[in-house]
Amino acid sequence: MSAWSDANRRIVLGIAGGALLALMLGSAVYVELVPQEWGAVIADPAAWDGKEVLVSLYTVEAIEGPDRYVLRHGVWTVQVDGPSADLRVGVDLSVRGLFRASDGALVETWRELAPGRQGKRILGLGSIVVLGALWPSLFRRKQGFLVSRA
Amino acid sequence: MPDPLFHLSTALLPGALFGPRHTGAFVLGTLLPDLGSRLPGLALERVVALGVPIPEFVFTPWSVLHVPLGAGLGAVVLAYVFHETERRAAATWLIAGVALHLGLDTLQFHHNGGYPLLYPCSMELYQIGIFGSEATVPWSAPVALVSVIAWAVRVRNLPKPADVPD
Repeated sequence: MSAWSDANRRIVLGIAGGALLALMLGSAVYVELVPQEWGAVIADPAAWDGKEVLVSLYTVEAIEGPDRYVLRHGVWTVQVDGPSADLRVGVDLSVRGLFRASDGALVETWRELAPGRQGKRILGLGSIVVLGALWPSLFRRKQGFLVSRA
Repeated sequence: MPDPLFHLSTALLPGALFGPRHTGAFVLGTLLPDLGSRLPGLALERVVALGVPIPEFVFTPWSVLHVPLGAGLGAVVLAYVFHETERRAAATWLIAGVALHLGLDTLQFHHNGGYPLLYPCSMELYQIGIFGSEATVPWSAPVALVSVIAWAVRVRNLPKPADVPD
């Protein structure tokens, strides 16, 4: 491999890696400046008071009573006023409701359970196991790098 | 998104049936958006659940690996773990896998409106909405089993590693 193509290779890696890093850091800065989803609601509660909010595919973190439960998604927790009889901790669901600024709660008007999410997480781990098991049949090593086996 | 095991099968089964040389890169490409974006998020959620405070901006960067531009750049970077003799082909197949993954995901219906396919140029969400986001779960294990068996049959007919020139 010539020095020219070696330099080219480094340039492509530098550009792609740099652009990816910039995109990742840029997205982190962006959500700090312009909060998204539930982050936007809690950043300016007064502006969202009485407005309809959707929280999509959040997980039940706690049941606080027959008409109150807590959802979590990443760093966000959402207090929801709504029937909790058919819920349990760990269940995933989407909830639409009206935001109440006085206590930061969401008053549920609609919900949809997502019973397949837990199975999906398990299948996600399964994909890593299958990939690991198949790895020797997919790749071999050459001078410290991967080459296709098939 | 269809579950990761289903995504893996969508690359492995065609590889087993039609025998493209770069099935491995294709499989990695189909997993890259989920492994790159969801896995760190799930791990961070576990840490938060333990009571460790993690700011929101730590969660966010990974999600760019689930949009076309970020996943495409990730595929190019990942191609550098391949030997230089097949790096270009690996990048092509990794990107093909990423495109297949994001294409399948876009077929789903999400209440939040879908995926920001043009991020960072636009925050507009896109989806076609043909099936639900958990629709593949019951099918995933059987499809994966068929794919793995088909792949195993194909692998039996490959030349032994010692026969492959280095």
